[in-house]
Amino acid sequence: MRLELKKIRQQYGDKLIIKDMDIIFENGLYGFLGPNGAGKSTTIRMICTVEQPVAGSIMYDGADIFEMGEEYRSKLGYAPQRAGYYPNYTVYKFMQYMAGLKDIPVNGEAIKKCLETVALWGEKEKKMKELSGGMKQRVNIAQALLNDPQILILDEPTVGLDPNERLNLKNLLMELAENKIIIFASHIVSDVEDIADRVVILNKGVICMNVSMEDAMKMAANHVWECTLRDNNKIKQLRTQYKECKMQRHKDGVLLRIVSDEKPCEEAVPADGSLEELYLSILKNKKG
Amino acid sequence: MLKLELYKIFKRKLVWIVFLGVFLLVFISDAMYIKNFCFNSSERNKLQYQLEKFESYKGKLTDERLEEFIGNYIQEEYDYLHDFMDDGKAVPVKKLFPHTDFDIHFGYFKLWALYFGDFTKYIKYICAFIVVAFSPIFSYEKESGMQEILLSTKNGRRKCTRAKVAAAFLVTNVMYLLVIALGLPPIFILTKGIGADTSIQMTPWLMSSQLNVNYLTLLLHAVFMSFIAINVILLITLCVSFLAKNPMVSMCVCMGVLLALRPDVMATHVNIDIINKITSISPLNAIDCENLADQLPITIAGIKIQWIYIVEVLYCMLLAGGGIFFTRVLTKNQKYYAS
Repeated sequence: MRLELKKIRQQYGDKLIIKDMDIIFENGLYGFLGPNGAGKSTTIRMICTVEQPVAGSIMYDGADIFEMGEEYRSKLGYAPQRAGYYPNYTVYKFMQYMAGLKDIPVNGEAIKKCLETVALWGEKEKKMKELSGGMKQRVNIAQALLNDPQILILDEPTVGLDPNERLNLKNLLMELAENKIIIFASHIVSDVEDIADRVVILNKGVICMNVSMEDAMKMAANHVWECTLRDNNKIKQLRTQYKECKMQRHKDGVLLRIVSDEKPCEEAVPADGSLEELYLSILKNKKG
Repeated sequence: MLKLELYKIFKRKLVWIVFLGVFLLVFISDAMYIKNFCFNSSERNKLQYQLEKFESYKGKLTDERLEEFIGNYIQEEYDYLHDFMDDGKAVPVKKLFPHTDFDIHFGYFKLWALYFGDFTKYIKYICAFIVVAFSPIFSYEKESGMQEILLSTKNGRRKCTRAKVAAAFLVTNVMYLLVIALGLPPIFILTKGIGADTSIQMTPWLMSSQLNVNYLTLLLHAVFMSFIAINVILLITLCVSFLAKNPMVSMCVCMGVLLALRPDVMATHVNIDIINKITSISPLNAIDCENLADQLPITIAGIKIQWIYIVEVLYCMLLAGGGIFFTRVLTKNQKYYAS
């Protein structure tokens, strides 16, 4: 199974959103990171055939996805960032409608299985408008799983979920990732860090990084420094100079954790980095 | 998908309200007819008298027949005869109908003349239902955020669109048949078919019509034309809904298309024949067959063609062409609109 984006370009009017993107997705879980307006949702919409790129091609196992049409979309499961729904439908009726759209039996076991997976089977007779934000998001995820897709795309799926629900979702995705392509776009870097096999960082329509999680953590290790200081002026100066800087007060002083390519001060020592810090470092470099 | 789309249409309370409201209005109108002419003994007797009187004088309208009829008729009982009389005497037929070059068939006409106005009203109720029920059929998907999901699913494009269109046409035409089934019987029950073969020129406001048809034929034209017109209105509504980004915009545009170019408004300011002809083509006016029958015919290559036939052909072409345009062109490449 292979999904390939070749020289993808997208623009709205004169504004260029995606610039000549090349990326290959194979079985596994891909964490798609990027700031607001980076082009994550646009890329996802193109992969889901919601939008057509102005240039380039998207190939699934060698065939153009826009020419494949229904055959490709039958393998797709998509949970968009803004969960669409019909307010007066019950959860079950909405899932039946989605089953109809995905060409699977409306009275089959698939609906029950998906709702049980997101722990909403007990709420199946509730109207969609009566659900909380987190519940609506879970319905959104459930409909994406309905046709047991080979390509599962989730755009900001953890928004509105409580920590327990986020953990359940992450565990589910890790189980599914073995024989599927899962693309998980998120602002919450820790969610991606916990489960992704590969990390793709997007900024201003360009891929800044596309590495395995293992390589990403190694890279992160070279970009994070720690120092404990008591001099308030020096602390203030470092915080002004390095925007990506976390501060924690201790009895020995103030612990600064700084993301930087070079050693920020004499007292600084290298520290184990997190994906979030690597992400901030890469974005900072791109800004500079 | 068809069942799912039908469920979605009738899930909205407003659709049920308008749906039942249409039948209620038609039912009330029928009930008024029945009440006035069946349960009110004086009106019932008056109607019976008129039917018998006119039936006994029916035939080709001549000066002699008209004079004899007026002479034997109790004038106070029948207001509509004032147009046929001048100072208590019959007006010459040539003066009554100066533009007709065919024989006028005299007979009972009052209830028939009144009925067409009600028939047009029934069809307008259906048009209101079409706009309310179907203007959000596509546009709501964009507003609700469902469009992204729809476009990414196997059946969310062609099959879903076909199901929506099929559901809309099914509901509209079933409703039309039910309204016809409810609305047509009273005229036949009350008149017992008497007057069906009377020329439409007997209606005071159609005296200048040059269309050589009787009431039954005009009714058939009305049934046919209204069927075509409501399907054209439905097609316009579906197109607007498809292009609009939210249901309120699509409903307002559809209402504007329906209510624009009203001849009754235009005629008070501009009384030009060509303006009247143009406005008679607009959807809501095309269902008014009396208005179409009243338009003067146009001459093409020496052949006089009645305006009603031109509008019927035009609307059939519009329905066929519009249907092809909608299915083959408009819905072929469904675009995503960020809400």
